[in-house]
Amino acid sequence: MASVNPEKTRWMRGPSTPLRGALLGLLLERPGHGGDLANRLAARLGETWRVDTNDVYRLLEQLEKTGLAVSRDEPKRNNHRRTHLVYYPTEEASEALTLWMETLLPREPVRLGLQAKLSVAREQDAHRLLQALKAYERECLMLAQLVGPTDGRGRSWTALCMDCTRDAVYTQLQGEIDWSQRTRRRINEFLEQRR
Amino acid sequence: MKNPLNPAIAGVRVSMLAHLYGVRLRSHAIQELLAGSGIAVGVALVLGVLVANASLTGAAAQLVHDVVGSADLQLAARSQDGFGERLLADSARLTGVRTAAPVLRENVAVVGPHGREPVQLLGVNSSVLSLGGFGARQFGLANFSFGKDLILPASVASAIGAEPGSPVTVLALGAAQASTVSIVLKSSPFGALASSPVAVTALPSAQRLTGLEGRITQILIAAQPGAESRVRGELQRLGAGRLNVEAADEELALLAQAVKPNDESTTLFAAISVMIGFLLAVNAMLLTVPERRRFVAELRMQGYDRRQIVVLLIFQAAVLGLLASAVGVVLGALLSHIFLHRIPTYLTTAFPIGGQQTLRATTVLAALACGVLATLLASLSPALDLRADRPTDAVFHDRSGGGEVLAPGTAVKLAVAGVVALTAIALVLALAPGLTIVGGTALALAILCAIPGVFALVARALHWAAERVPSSSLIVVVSELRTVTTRSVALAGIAALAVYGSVAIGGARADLLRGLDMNFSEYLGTARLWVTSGGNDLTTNAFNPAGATAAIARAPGVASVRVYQGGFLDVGRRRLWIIARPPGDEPPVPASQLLEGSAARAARLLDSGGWATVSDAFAKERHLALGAAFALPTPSGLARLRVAAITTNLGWSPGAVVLSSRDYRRYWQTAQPSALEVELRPGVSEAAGRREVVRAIGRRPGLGVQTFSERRAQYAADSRQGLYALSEIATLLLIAAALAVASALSAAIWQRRARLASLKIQGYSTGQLWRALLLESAIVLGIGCAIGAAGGVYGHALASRWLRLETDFPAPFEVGLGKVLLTLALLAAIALAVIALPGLLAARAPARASFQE
Amino acid sequence: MTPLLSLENVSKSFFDGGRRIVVLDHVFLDVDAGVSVGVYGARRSGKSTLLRLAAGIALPDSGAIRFEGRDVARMSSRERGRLLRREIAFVSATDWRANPGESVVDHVATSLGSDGVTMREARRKAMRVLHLLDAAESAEESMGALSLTERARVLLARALAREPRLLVLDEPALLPSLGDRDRFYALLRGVAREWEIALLVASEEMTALQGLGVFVSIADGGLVSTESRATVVSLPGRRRHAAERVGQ
Repeated sequence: MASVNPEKTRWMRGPSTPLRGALLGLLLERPGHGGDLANRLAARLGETWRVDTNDVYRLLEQLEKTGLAVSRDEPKRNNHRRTHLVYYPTEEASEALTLWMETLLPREPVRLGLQAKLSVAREQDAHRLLQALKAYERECLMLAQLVGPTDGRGRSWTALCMDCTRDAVYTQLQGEIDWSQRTRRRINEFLEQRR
Repeated sequence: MKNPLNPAIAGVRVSMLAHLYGVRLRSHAIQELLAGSGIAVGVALVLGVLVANASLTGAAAQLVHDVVGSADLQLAARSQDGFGERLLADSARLTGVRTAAPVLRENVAVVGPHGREPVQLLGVNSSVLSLGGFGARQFGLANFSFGKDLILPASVASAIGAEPGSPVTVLALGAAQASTVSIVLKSSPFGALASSPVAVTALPSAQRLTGLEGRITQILIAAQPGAESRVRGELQRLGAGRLNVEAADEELALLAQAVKPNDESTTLFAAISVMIGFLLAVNAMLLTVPERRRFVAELRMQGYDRRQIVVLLIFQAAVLGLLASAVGVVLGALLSHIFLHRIPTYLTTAFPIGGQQTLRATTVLAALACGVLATLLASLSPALDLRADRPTDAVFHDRSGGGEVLAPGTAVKLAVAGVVALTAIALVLALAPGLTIVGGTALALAILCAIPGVFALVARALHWAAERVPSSSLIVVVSELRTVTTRSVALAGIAALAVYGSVAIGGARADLLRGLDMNFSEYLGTARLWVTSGGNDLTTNAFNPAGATAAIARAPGVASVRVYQGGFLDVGRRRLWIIARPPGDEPPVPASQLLEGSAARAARLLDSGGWATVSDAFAKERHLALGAAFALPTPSGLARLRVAAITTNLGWSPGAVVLSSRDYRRYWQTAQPSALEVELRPGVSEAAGRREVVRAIGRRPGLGVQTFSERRAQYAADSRQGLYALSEIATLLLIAAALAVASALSAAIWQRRARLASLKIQGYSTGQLWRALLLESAIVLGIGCAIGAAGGVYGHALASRWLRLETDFPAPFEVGLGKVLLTLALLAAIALAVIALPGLLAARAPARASFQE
Repeated sequence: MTPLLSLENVSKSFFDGGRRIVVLDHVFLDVDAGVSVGVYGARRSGKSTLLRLAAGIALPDSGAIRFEGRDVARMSSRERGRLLRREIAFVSATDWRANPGESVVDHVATSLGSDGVTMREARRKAMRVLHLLDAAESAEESMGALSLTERARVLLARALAREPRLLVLDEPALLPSLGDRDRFYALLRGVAREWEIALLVASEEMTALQGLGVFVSIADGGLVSTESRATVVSLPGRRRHAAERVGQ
């Protein structure tokens, strides 16, 4: 991955990389207009990911600017007198998506990124997903490791609150790891059945 | 830190070993106790059997040596009435003879205030003391002189209620004489003599008591050193072919031969019983294997290496084995004391053998070793977990439920092994019946091998049944028996072995008794009343009728009186039973006992004179076929006879010879009867006839009158008593079986508490579980009993065949269904009794118990 | 430096009925002397198998388990016994069940018996360790009568009594009180640090791992570790093959 031309990952920079990648994946599946893509995105990512339609329009414009998508004004299907912009992937789009799948996403919204990738992953991405999931687990383990241990003796209210906070972090990270492990398992079982 | 009392074995201190065993005892006291009791029962069986099997010859040897002292040769009469005293002087004069001591030996009965005892009367004089006999050497009795009164051993004196000075009556050769007891020999200094059925008196007194004035039956000779062969030759000349010249202790060889078949048959059954006792102990231990495996796994995780674990297992087995075996030895000694009766009566008529219960150190050691070995063997099975390719904690991960479940492949393998063993037994024994001891024990193993396979089949059948019969208990049972567990196999194995042993040994014993009964019934069936000199004998004591024959013949109701003769005759190493039949005895030879030749032809040939029937063993020894000629050394010299038929041993193990009374009178030169056979007129009952005959012989206390059925009953009782060892072994087996099944069943049920409690959680009631336990135990025991019974019948057939072929005893094979059923019923009763209480307690285990243990 | 314990390319599978379940699939793991490693994994993820292999109780199907560079599978029974006696102590929460009637001090003492000590010496040492772990007051009670919290300490004492260099603990403290759990783990960490014992602890709760040096998660036959040395990110052959085919 070190040999990748930085030009090719330029489009991933900035905020909302997961959504940009996911949108690109959706475009590669089937071209669509902004509203359509926003709906599809929301359906893929699930209820917990509050997708803002305006954001989707903005991200599509960015994709067009980086040369991964083109838009054409086309009449609406139910009302031919009115038109809307329909986005199509460019030739570079597929390679860009593969690269995105292999790219470690910034730490903060890690899982969101994975979730976004999962939502639009192609079958040939399975192996990349597994790697990403493992990397994510490692990330979570390292985060957990950073949490200082309790001495088990704290009798003060403050100590109690700190223990509870610690617990919150562990519980969250444990949940993340569980989800990731289960996801790997599902993918592996799927691959095994295909063999 | 070396402590000689607490050495390290394989790196573990003895105190640590002891402590670890203590831990096990505290945690599993009941399991250990039950296993221990199983072992104890097995060992008790082994000990009891070994005691029962101890040969009688030891005590007899002591007695013979007491009498003959340093004598090395003897001149012995071939019949009861002996020979003239003048031969004593002749033999004493022979060059090379140091001492010659006369002896008169006769079978008599002594009657005291409390009863009558058959004894051998020994008439001796002080010359016998100079031979060192009668304790002369040990106790300085060299100057003792025998008086006219009787010296009685304590055992005889107490039986008839006599004390020194008591008047007693001696019944000898059909006459009664008064005498007095002078000395009672206490057992401590006199050993064998004090416990033997003898009475000692001065020679003239013995001659007076027996009416054999001037006669003796034996001269004991002590030759000068180196002169023995020469003296022997001289004696032979003196005996002139009419007396036997033999070693002074020849009687021992005769006795050894007489008890050999009995000893052998006892050994056969003893070997099988010992094997069963051993396997009982093994099975009892097997019940504890799962817990032991867990214990071993845990210790290994704590860093105990394989060697240390083996040491630990051996230590635990040795402790449990020794303790349980010690209890077993005590139990066995107790059992044999209560149930074992010594000395068969039939032998005392021919040999003066006394009864002493001997518990030898070797016997005890053998029983102990057997118990410890069995325990070791069974407790080393957890060592299988020590195989290199197994994880240390294999038992916790064993998919077979902690090693309690037998793999299906094992059942098949074992079943194949069982079939192979069975085939091998059948083949080998068909060719070499002498190997029956091996065959019998191999059969026990084959039975054990068959159990898992049968279990699997029964489980299938149960499964089939459970799908069709609505029963909650059946469902529980099916789920319990779905897999073959070591526990249920061990339990069924105990039942199988118990039934096998009881059926095989009991059956063979029953065959033997039936054969003997049939034989004696025919033997005695030649007359309706028998007049004899009394005593429990084989009609071998001749008596002086002194007009009794004619008196009886004159009695109203009596049709005829025939003179029956007979006695013992020492031929080679055999003390043969001679039966001389008068004309009119029908049949002279028991038809059921004929092995070769026909009854009618034999009767005709005997009657014609010069013919005799002989026992198979004697015929084989001499290579005699039908019609072959042979010679018997009789009081008148060699009698040449031909074989009219070949018979069984007619119930006397050294063998019997039947000839006509005419021949007997000729060769034995006596007309004295051993019995008078009385025929009654038609319409006269035996009881009425008996009264007439008793009146006719008047006051002759030396003579007894018995009806055919009375005498037959006496013989039957004697045969049973004669087979004491077999009966005892059969009894011991049954008792051991009962105890073993009870303890194994308790152990099995106890181990089930947790499982039962977990069923409680699933809503089963106490009653349902109890019924399920009942059903399951019935099935497990039923399988064991069925296999055991099948094996037992086969073993019984083998044993009976062996008895016929190897001992010459009549033992016609017949399946003793009653006996089998009785054994099964006994086991069922025990099982019920056990399940009734501990089973109910276990079934009532509260649901929470499933979380414990 | 040779790690104290290393699992090299270790595989282990079991059969579930006729189906083969791969529990560990070409796994690597190093435990350095004095270092504490926590293994997090859901139920039936293979934690216990990993620990049993690490303690030399079970042997791998393939690959090697080395203690100070020596292959455990090639050791003789006596050497392996020595390993469990002197070097590695294995603690399982269900261990004591073979003899529930045993007293606490005896339970700790018996684990020393394989070393040729007398019962008195073993008891003395057991008492010392029990004191150290604050469990001396229940020394004479029977194992079956202890509370879970007390028992956890006794089992720890039993392992520590042998002064091992590696302590392997399989789910040692699923205690009813969260405070007790925290205290138990703090105690464990403290003893390990003080005695310089390497720890290998597995739990289905991540909090049990707090304060340990290396975190490892186990799932689906593979390990993920915060220590890159032991992290296996490469795909095992079988799966790579599958992935390549899908990728075509």
